[in-house]
Order: sequence, then structure tokens, then C-alpha cells
Amino acid sequence: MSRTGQTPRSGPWRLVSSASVAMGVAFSVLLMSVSYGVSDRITGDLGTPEVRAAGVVDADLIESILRQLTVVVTLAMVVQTAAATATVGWVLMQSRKREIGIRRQSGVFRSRLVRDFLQEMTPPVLGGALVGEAVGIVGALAVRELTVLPVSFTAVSLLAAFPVTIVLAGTATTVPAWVAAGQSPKSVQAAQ
Amino acid sequence: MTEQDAGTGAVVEVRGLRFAFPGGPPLLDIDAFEVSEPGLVAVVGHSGAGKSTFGALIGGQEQAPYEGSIKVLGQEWADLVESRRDDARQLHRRRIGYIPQDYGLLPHYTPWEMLMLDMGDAEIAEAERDTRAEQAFSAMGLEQMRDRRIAELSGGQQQRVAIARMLARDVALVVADEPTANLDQDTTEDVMVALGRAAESVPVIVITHDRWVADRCRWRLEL
Repeated sequence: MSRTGQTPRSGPWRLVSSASVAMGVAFSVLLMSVSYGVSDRITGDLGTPEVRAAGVVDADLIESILRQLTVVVTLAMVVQTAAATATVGWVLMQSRKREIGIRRQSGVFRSRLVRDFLQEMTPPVLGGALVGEAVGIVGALAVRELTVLPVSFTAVSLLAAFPVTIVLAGTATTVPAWVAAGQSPKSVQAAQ
Repeated sequence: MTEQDAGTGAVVEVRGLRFAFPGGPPLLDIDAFEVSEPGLVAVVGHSGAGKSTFGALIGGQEQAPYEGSIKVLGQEWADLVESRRDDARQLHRRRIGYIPQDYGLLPHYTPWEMLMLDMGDAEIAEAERDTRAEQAFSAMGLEQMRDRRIAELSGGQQQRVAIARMLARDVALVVADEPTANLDQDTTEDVMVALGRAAESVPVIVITHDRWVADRCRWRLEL
């Protein structure tokens, strides 16, 4: 730090947060785009009048299975990303309880403490999510180029994990900080 | 017990204090204790006598319920705890400089950063912070060390940084829990000189098991 009033923040935890969010979002974008691609491709092939007329397969059943499979993959990826982000956020906040206790000793308001943590968390999480989006899209394009798997970019496959991750990361940061700040400084530090 | 006369404007006023942790045996039983003017006050007692708990109660760090009265700077501590008003409790804490046994510093910060964080948390006007920090470091002889990592400083230097935090915040009371624990004799003497300097302007309550330290204090409470 400096003399400008800025305070130093521990760098490693920001890197961990960014990496965690980026990985979660990237996998979500990649797997959901592949899932939508496979679904679209098969649905398209089965939807032709020739296939339906042939009656060899139950096209409606397969389309229904694919739709549900896509929903399951989408939800699973969003939940997985959210859970990973929340876990990392929670663990990181637990590791900063001593800092919370010390600052509460000095008389910092609970609201200011939470706001500070949110401000610290936002850039690495947003940055990680943007990097994750880019990596996921590049990964999905690579899959399309290098394998026979089809890929479809939809609003859901591209954006579903992003807001959930941001909201969960914010919650995982603010809730533990708020709870810890409500305890006595002595017990907060003793708990770590 | 301090030899103060009971009077108005007491910085610390304890009456009929009975304290025990939930489910635990009685820990504190203090009929009367008062501090009204600047100076060093020792709180001594054997291990387990409740010295640190007493310091934490006076310093606004312990929120467990108690019987009797603990008034610090005219505020009954239990009232602030029970009111559940965070702002009132924190404004009260800002006026007290509590130095825990581990000094209450963040090791990856420099002393300068630590004081800036502290003054920011206490909402001291930004324009005043540099001057206050410089004066506090000067009083503690830390001018040359303010940009080193706290983790790199010796125990005595860290203790002086902890005291500098309180000076910079311009607190009305300092409570130091075992400020000389684990320090050698020379460093203990340095720390007592530093605490003595702080005690020129505000009461400094020193929780200690060290008789040598207690003998350097003007008043004494035996637990």
C-alpha cells in the first residue's frame, strides 16, 4: 500500500477465486454448448419427413429424451459451478476471520466490512467469469473442429452459469462476513 | 483496585461484577474498580483468574452476559450488547484501544498500511490520517520500520506498532492484554516505556502476570 488510502489485499485468494469461477464457467459453457449441439443435431436429423415416415425409430421419444437430457446437463453444470464457487468463497472467508476480528476490534461497521469484502471479491469473480466464458467458447469451438461432436451456442449455454456464479460468489462472501462480524471480536478470532 | 477516588467522569467504572462463561464456574467477582485519569493500571492475578476476560469485557471484546455494571466512557457495556445496534457498539469500540495478546496485527501488512486500515475503519478524516500515523510512529520510534512487513518485525516492534495504532486513533482508553508475554527483559522494558508514553494522555490498563510489569504501573487491581 500505499499512501493513497488503498489497503493491500491478499493476492492468492483472489487468484483462487478467479481460477475457480473461470473453470466452473468454462466447463458450463463447453458442456452445455455440446449438449445443445448434440440435441439440435439429432433432433434435426430425426425431424426429417423421411425418417418419421420410415417409422424405424420413435422420433418423438428420442426428441423428448434429448430435451430432458439437455435440461439435466444445464442444471447440473449450473449447480456444479455454483457449488464450487460458493465453497471456495466460504472457505476463503473462513480464512479471513482473524482479519474480521481485528477490524471489528477497531470499530469498523458491519456494513462497511461486508462492502469492503464485496468490493474485493467483485473484480476477481467478474474477471474469472469473463475468462471462463472465453475459454468455454474457445473450447467448444475446438471440440467442433477436432471431433464429430456438434456444438450450438445458445443464450442459455452461454449465459446460464454467469449470473448464478456471480450471485453465489457474492452470497458466499457476504453471509460469512456478516455472521462473523456479528460475533464478539474475541470469539471470531478464537474460532479460526 | 485503583486508589482513585470514586468520582464523576470515570473512564472505567465497575460495580458488583460477577461473570461466568455459560455453563462454567464463576470467573470474576469484583466489587468495585474505577479508573479516572491517565496512567498505567495493572490487572494482575494467577493463571485462570480471569484477567484476560476482565480486559476483554472492559475493552468491549467479550459479549457474554454478566451481572453488575461495567461502564466504560459512561456506557454500560451490557446495554450496548443487548441493544443489538451495531453502530452504537462499534462507535464505542472506536474509543477503546484493545491490544490482544497476539497484538492484533495483520502480518502481511506494513505498519503504515495497518494504521491506514485502522483509521479508515474508524472513519477518521482522510486528510488527518497521514499526520496521525507519522506522529504515532514518531512517538513509538518506528519511523524506520513503517514500510516493512509486520511479519518481519520483532515481538517488541510489533507491540509498539499495536500501541501506535491506538495513538493514531486517539482512543480514550487502552487495554493491553499481556503486552510483554514472551518478550525478553530488555524488550519488556522498551514496551513498558512505550505504554508509559501512551499513558501520559489516557488510562492504560495492563493485564499481566508479570510482577515486574505490575510494579511499573501506578495502580493495581489484584484478581
